[in-house]
Amino acid sequence: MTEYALFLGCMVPNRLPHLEFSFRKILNHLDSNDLVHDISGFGCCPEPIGFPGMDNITFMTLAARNLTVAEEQKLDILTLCTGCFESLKTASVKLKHEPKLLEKVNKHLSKVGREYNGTVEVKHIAQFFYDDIGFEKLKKNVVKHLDNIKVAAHYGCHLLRPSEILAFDDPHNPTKLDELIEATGAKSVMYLRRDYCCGAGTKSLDGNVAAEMVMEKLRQIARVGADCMSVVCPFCFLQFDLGQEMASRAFKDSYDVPYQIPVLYYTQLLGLSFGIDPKEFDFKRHRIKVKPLLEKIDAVAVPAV
Amino acid sequence: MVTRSKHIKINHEFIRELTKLPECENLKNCYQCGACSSYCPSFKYSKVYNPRKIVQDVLVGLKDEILENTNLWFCGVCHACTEQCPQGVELSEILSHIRNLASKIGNIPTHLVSEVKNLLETGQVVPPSSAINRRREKFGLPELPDAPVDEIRTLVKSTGFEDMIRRKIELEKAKEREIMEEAKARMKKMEEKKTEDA
Ligand code: SF4
Ligand code: SF4
Repeated sequence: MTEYALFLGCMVPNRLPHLEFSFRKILNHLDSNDLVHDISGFGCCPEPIGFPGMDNITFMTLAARNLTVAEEQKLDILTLCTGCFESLKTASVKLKHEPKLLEKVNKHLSKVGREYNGTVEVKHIAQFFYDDIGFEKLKKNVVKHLDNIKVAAHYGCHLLRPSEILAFDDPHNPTKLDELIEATGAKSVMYLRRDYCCGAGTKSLDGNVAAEMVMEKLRQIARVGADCMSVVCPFCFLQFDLGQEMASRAFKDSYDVPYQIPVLYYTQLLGLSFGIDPKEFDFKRHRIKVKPLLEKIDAVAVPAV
Repeated sequence: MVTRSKHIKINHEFIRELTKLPECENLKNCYQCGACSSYCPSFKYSKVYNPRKIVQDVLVGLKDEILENTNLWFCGVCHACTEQCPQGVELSEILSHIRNLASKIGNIPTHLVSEVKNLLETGQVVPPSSAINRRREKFGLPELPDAPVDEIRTLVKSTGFEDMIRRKIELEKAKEREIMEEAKARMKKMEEKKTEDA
């Protein structure tokens, strides 16, 4: 089995540790701790929106530096954030196929005594559950079928596009996250604008534009009666959780607000189906209350036989 | 009658310079269908950002107008345009390259300058905090290793990035000074006028 260095990034460990906790909890529950290693030496991924826009070669060099840290330990990289995934995967793919770029980057890296040899693969946890853990193992651990809830999957731009590089799933009609959600017994519902951006990328420039994007998604998700959303990125999480509250306030006159659609990181949802006590996940931290969802699940959840 | 501002400068070299780069060579295949913009969330909601129009301006040669336009940064890098373009124009990459050129002349939004400052100080864009570290402890999460700040600083110096950001910060300061000076001059004039009137 492939072994990975866990790349935490900055948003998850420094702002949303409860998301990190949920991933580690699941890993432990699946008895798969030996697949994922904590190593030191990683820096900023760097983030895939501002940095490549300011200076591509700096972006590539800083990303490649992280790749060398994993390469030294002969490990691949696993990310919890789709932003880290896009940055590191883009660098790994391009540096593998563009020798001139690799040469340039290595010249800079030599100043800190490093060299990248192009051997590291980068994976996001969604792919890890899909390929490495697999459905058989996931389903075996489901003790509480979430049959009565409808979940709206939000893949996130940086998991899907550009598909030629990230190669996670069909960019127009992805299904992998839906399949992962349905492994819990829940129904993953289709809605318009599934592939739309969460708006995190424009938030710092213009909060209103980002809030409009959040509202558009929520409106479509509310229309199909989803009980919650499931995301696989801390930035998307913040946009739809805290952002939902803020956008509902900002648009209180123009939409059917406030929306109250709880947002769960995928491993939190998985944890509920594994029968892990919800208290452990510290759902109090979520701005949109998760309690009604938990009550709905408990009202009729059938224990798996 | 269509009148043109005499300030518009056409730069015929711009498109040639851009298409020399491998990531921008397919730019000429653009037939201005607008699929990119129709899928672009920033176009839909910002009302001031239009990726198709940027390509048009590149094709026409409006180099300065493009590079000086701060709206360039409305791109959320969602790559929907690249995925939708029927002509295989890798637009999000091209736009990113255009922002690289804009950055060189100081067109960088302030929130990104702060991001860089965080990176150079802490090695991360979202720095750690003691309150969160206490919460990590409660969760039983491992202690976070130190970020490799020194290596990052050396690398951004090596690529010339640090200089570029420093220039940008100086530019900003100069602009602030200019505004202050202007305000002072105006105040002075008003004072003078007051004493004259008296
Ligand atoms: S979708 Fe492609 S061809 Fe159409 S306007 Fe945009 S860049 Fe040009
Ligand atoms: S990558 Fe930028 S220009 Fe392209 S669709 Fe997304 S926001 Fe618009």
